[in-house]
Amino acid sequence: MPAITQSPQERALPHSDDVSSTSPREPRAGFAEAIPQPEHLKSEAELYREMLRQIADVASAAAQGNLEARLLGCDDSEKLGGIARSVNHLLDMTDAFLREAGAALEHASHGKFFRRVLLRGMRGTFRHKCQLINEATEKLASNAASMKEVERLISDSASIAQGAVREASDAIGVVNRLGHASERIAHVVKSISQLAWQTKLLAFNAQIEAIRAGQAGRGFDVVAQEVKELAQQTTTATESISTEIIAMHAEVERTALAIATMSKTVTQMQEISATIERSVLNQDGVR
Amino acid sequence: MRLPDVTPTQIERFFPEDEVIVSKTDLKGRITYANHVFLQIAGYREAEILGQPHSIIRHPDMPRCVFKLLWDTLEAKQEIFAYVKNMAKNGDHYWVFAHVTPTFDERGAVTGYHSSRRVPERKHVGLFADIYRQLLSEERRHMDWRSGMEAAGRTLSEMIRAKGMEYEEFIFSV
Repeated sequence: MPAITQSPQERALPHSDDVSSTSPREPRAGFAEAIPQPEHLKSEAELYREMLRQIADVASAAAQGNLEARLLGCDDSEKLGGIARSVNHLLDMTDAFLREAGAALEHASHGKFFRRVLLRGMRGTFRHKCQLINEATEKLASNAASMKEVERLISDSASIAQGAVREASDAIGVVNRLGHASERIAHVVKSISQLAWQTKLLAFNAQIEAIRAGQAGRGFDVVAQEVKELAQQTTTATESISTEIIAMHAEVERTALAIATMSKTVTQMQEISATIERSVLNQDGVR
Repeated sequence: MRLPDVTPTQIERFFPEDEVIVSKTDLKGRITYANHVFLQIAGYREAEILGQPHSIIRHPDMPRCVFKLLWDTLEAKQEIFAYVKNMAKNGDHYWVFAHVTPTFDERGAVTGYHSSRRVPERKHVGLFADIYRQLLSEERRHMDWRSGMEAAGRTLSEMIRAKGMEYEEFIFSV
C-alpha cells in the first residue's frame, strides 16, 4: 500500500505476496510505515481511488518543494507497481538533479571546480541541463584561472612600480648632487675670475712701474703685458664656464622636475593597481 | 530479511548504465525508501527492506573505515562519493559509485540521508577493489575492530595525501 512521509496514517493496498505482514517492524517517527493489511474486501475501484489519492498527496508535497515523499508498498502489486514506480522514478530524478546541481554550484562557489554534475543515470532534459551546468562550471574554472593570472600580473606590476619609484628617488638624489656640484664649480669659477681680475690689476701696476723705470723696465713691460693678456684669457674662459654652468643647472632642474613627475605617475599607477588587486581579491571565493 | 549466515557468492550482478539505485534512510541509517532498481539488484521486496539498517547490503569485503569516513562526512553535513561493493540478499555482489547526501529541512537541520548509486567505471572498480583489499588486510591485522578501522583510516588518508589531494578531489580525479 502506498504511504508517504507526510501522512503517517497507515494505508493499505493489496499485496500479491504480503511478506511484511509476517515480519512486523517498529513504527518510525516521521516516516509512514507500509504496514500492509489484507484488504481483500476492497473493490478494485476503491483501490484505484486510494492509489490516486496517494499520488495526489505525494505530488502536492513535491509541488511544495518536499521531494522526500514516495509511494511505498506497491512493488508487489502488478497493477499499481508500474504507476508507483514511474511516480517514484520522476521524484528520484528530480531529487537527484537538484542535489547534483546544488552540490556542483556550491562547490564552484568555493572554487572547487572538480565537482561536476554526474551525468550517468540522467536522461533527457535532466541530462541536458546537467551538461549545461557542467559547461558553466568549466567556464567558471577558466575564468578563475585567468583571474589568478591577472592577480599575478598585478602583483608583478606592483613590484615593478615599486622598483621604478625607488629608482626615481635615487635619480633625484643624483640630480640633487649634480646641482650641488655645479654650485661648487660656479663658486670655484668665481674665485678664478677674481684671481684673474687681481692679476690683471697687478700686471697693470707692473706696467706703470716698468714705464717709470724707462729703458731698464722695457723688458719688464713686455712681461707685464703678457700677464695681462693671460689674465684676460682666464676671464674669458671663466665667463664661458659660467654660462655653461648656468645652462647645466637649468637642465638639472628640468631633469629633477621630469623625474618627480614620473615618480608621481608611477605612484598613481600603483594606486590603480592596488584598487584592481583589491577587486580581484574580492573574487577570491570563486577560485 | 537477510539471514545472518549469508555468505558471499563472489558472483557479480550488474544494473543498466542509465539507471540509478536510490534509497533514503532516517537519521539512524534505517531504510525509508528504496527504488525499484535497488529492490531488483539487491533482491529484496520493499516490505522486507523498509526499516532495515542500510548495512543490510554491506559486503564483508568492504573495509569498515570507508563507512566511518562516510558517516563522519555526513555528520559534517557534507556530501560524499564512494565506490562500494554491496551485497545482494543471496550473497551476490554489485559495485556502485555511491553519492550520499544529507537531506535538510527548511531550517537546515538534517532529517535523513539520500543515496544515489550509479554504474561505476570498470577500471575504477578494479582500482578500488585493490585499495579496499589493502585496507581490509590492515583492519584484520588488529585485535579489535575499532583500532583496525582507525589504522586503515590512516592508511587511506596517507594514500590520498601522497597524491597531494583531499578524499573528495581524489574520488573525482581517478
